[in-house]
Amino acid sequence: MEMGPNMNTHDMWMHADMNRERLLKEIMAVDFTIVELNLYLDTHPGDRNALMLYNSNVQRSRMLRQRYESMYGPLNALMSTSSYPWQWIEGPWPWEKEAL
Amino acid sequence: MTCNPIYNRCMMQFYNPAPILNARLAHAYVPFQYIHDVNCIYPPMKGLQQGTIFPELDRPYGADPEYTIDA
Amino acid sequence: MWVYEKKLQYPVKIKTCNPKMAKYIISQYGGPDGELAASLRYLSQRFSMPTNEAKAILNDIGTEELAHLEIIGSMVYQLTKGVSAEQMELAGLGAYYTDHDHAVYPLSASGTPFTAAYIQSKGDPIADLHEDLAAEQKARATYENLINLADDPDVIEPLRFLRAREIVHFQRFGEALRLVQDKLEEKKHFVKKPDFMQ
Repeated sequence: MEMGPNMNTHDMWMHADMNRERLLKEIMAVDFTIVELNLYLDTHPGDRNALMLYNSNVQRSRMLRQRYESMYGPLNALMSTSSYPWQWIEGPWPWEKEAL
Repeated sequence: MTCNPIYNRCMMQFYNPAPILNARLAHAYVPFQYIHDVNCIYPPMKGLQQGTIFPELDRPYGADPEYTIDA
Repeated sequence: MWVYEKKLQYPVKIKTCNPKMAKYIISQYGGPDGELAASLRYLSQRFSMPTNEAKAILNDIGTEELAHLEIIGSMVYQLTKGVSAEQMELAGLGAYYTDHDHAVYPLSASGTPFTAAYIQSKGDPIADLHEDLAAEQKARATYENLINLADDPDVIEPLRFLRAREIVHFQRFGEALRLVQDKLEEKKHFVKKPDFMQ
């Protein structure tokens, strides 16, 4: 989908939505890696390499989240600031088909 | 994207996990997993798709006879 | 305490309604081997675990099971969204619809409401971890049955993901058991000194 001066508002909204979907999927993937390493480290607390991998994935997740939240609103009610009016209640909510 | 030979080497951990020493009667033991090479871990998108980042724990339904029991 | 993340652990986007599948999948919401049972079991057992590793793994897997509970709830919600009362009845959900409309309610595939009788929190770490190993196998087997029943890829994909998670959880509980066994072996610990040692 080409961005350009002839793109109407609907098309631009659709384009932004595809970016949102792609970014959220990337965050899901990195966060899943983090969960897997978390569980592994719980029973292997002395595995240095796994620990390093965990930390680097956490940093990547933070960076992706910052980008996502600046454009599409908070992922976390207790840890992100909000613009006015209160963004947290905005849909779609994760169980809805429109969420992704 | 790493290629298959590396994942096959990673799968060797599944066939040769760390041996269980000093086993006692009336005890159950699951072999310990060890990551010998962090490069074996799936990249994030593949990990999410497979349901695990560890190739040695990737046992899809239908592909592994032990985990395809249908009474 | 818990913090909620506004995303599913694995995406659920089911394009075609299927109330008949919803009737089966809801068993992993409120059934004997479902995610509610799993999370409640692990989060209850964690208090009486003897080692840091065991406390951590029960805590973290219990938390992940809550995320899986959410995935199952989302699947049931999407499979029945917009379905008419008549279609619900044809799919065998007439009784469910009577009491719950299109809501998600924790019960098994056979209609038994969730009960804590599905779980145990024995306080004996060896017994508890063995129960957890069994729970993960039962959940895996249930997901395989559901995969056999389903034919929509949108439904099968999240079920495959959840099944894969159970195998990894089994491995982790197995490792926690090894660590607890070693710990208990090295230190003789009695709550009450047994008679033969008086």
